[in-house]
Amino acid sequence: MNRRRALFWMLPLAAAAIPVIGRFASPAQGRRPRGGGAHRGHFPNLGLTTREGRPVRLYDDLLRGRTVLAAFLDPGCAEAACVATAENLARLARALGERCGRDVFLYAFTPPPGGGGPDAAAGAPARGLKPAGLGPGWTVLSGSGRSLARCRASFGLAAAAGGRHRGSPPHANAVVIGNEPHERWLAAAALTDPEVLLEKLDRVAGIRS
Amino acid sequence: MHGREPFEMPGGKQLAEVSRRNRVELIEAGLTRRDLVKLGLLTAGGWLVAKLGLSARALKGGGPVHASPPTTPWVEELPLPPIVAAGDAAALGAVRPARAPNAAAGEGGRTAPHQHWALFDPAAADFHRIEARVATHSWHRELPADECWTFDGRFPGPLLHARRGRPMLVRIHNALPPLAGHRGYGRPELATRLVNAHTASESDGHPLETLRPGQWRDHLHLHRPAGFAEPGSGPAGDPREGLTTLWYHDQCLDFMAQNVYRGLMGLCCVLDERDTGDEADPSPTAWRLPSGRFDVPLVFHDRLFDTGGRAYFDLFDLDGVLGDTYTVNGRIRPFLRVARRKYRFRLVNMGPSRHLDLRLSNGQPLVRLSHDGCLLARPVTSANASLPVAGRCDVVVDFGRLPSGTTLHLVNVQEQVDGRGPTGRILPLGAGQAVLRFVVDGALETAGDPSRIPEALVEPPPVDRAAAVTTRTFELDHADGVWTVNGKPFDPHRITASPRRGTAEVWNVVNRSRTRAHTLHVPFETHQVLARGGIAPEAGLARRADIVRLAPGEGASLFLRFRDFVGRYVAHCRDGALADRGMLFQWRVVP
Repeated sequence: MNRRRALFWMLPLAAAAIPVIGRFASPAQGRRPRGGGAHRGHFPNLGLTTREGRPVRLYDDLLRGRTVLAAFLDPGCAEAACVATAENLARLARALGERCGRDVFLYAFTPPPGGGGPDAAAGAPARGLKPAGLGPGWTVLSGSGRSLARCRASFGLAAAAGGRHRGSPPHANAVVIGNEPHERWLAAAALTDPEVLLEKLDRVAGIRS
Repeated sequence: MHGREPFEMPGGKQLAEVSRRNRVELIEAGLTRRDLVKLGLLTAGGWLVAKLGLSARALKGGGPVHASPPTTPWVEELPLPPIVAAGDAAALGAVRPARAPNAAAGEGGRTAPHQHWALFDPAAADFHRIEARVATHSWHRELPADECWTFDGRFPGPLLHARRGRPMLVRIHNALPPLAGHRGYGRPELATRLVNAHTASESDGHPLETLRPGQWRDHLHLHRPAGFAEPGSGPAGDPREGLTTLWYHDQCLDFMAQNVYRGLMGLCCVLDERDTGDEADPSPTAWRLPSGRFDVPLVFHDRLFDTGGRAYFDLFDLDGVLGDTYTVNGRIRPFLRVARRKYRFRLVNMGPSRHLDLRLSNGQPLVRLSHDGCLLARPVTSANASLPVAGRCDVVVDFGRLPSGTTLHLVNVQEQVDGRGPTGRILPLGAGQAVLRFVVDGALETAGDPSRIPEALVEPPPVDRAAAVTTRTFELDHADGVWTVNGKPFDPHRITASPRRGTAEVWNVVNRSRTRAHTLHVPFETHQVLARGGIAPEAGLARRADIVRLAPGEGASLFLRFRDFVGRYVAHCRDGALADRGMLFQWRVVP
């Protein structure tokens, strides 16, 4: 997709939106019952695949009703910064222990197979430094490059793309922490000390001031 | 283009989703929002694109797509926050203030005893009890009543008047709903800072020292100018460090932008024997600036409303939050009936991310009195008042020469297309956004205009560069949704600098970002800029400030003193969205 083509498609679609945009425009911030559903209108229900090969949907299966931490990384990448990020997030999972998958869900959105995908996330070797892998506690997810870009955008990270992995959507220096039923979200650096990330998770979950 | 994804679309969301996909593609294609502006697809205000289903806000994160409902401008009268009279100690209720934190009686947040407690004489102090609570608020008569978090039930919160040298004890009660029952943006835990006041750490509202619902906390503001406990200035402090218009707001860690957006802010004006608040004051020291109903605070806040007309905050916007609707003192594009005479306006830009360059639509100049709550050396006649996020400026406007019936507007001509800061372009006056209408009404009774504009205000204290014992560098940067100071994300357990009480330092602050402006707020004492981009300010233009505004790639050297108190403070980006993403650092004044 080049810039000219993007504009070519954008103009008629945008023009078609004029008469009806008001009817459909409605942000999702009203009162909603417990058990989640608050952000149904925000997160696309993208089809993704876990490291184990299980198909899941982003919103219904992963986010709805849960306290989550979403990371976008390539654990198979051998760049020092990526290795450090993976190691840091692995430490977070160790600190959470049995809470992972019970009251807190850790999601790693990784590049598709062939681009250092879920297999690499498990710790497969890559060039240069030895990738750290993420270890237990993480739900490692992948999908098409397009799905991952949309996924990332829905967490608010699309326009912030840049830094060392400019143009490579799966990578982000930020993690997004959210409590979907309470509509409570924040972002933090992926390299934040795991103890501090744990504090933030607990504050978002509502079990710490 | 994208193929169809295997997911269900909630009813009525297809179009929004199509637009969102388009945005993502544009982002993937490498088109920035500035590119879109250049191509004419996005106006400065974001309106064209909003109509097309591609609001500037939504370009960032793929969030819901909408523009605020239209409202009729200039039908709402500008609300004026009433000045709250200070009470005596009885105003606080049965629990008297105590030096040590009084957890047994329900005090929360404070972790250290009040410093300089001996200077607090309850018989010669002002007392305020302020309650943070939910209240209904009307942004405009054409929108439904909204729910705000407020100080004392109103937005902006109560307007306090303090006197230089007279202690003020503010007890804040948190009557917001408990966290467990709260849904949506904001966090009902408070850390209230009186911005730019020279305040002890334990009363400064450190973001980590939060007040939970049901708790209260005493903030002791001595309102003594800096230097009162150091050799040289005497116990009254250095009068050249005096302050004028301050504002207070919540700054709970990670939730400052959200909580302020919910309405947790108010103003505090500091008076003294010069700025007495009485334009007819016979005292020879009194400046006699416009006072009473001719002294008007103007709080600017741009907002976004959902299609139901209620305030909306984008939780997934990590790059600054830009609204599409201007409000002044909590009303959308209101009007103010003015008499044919001089007015003092106290301008406060509470953001969240919009920078303002305000001018009068008839080209008439303003007379600026202050900068960031610090009085200037002398009044400055200027075409504009430039207010970065959280900037403050007192100005005098003279309507005396305008015929009755004249309407004119306060217009924002600062072009800004996203939350990352202004483009740098100043729009022609006719292309700006009118924010507030003035209607000159010759029938308003004024009893003349006894007010004056003095020739001189407050000369800033000289900077003694040689007195700086340390030079430190703080590099502000961001990458991919994360903001860092000196390459590190915020860690609440880290103290980045430990200046000694009674010393001065030079802080070099550098904006390493190539794409966005930063406005760093350093609390505790005001600073002076030694150099910006390596160039010293012109002679006679020295001024004090509590915010340093840095364009992309820009650096500035600040001269700071650390007097009178010890304890920890946070410096943070004035864009709350960035502070909540890590652009803050702690420093501690040590004995």
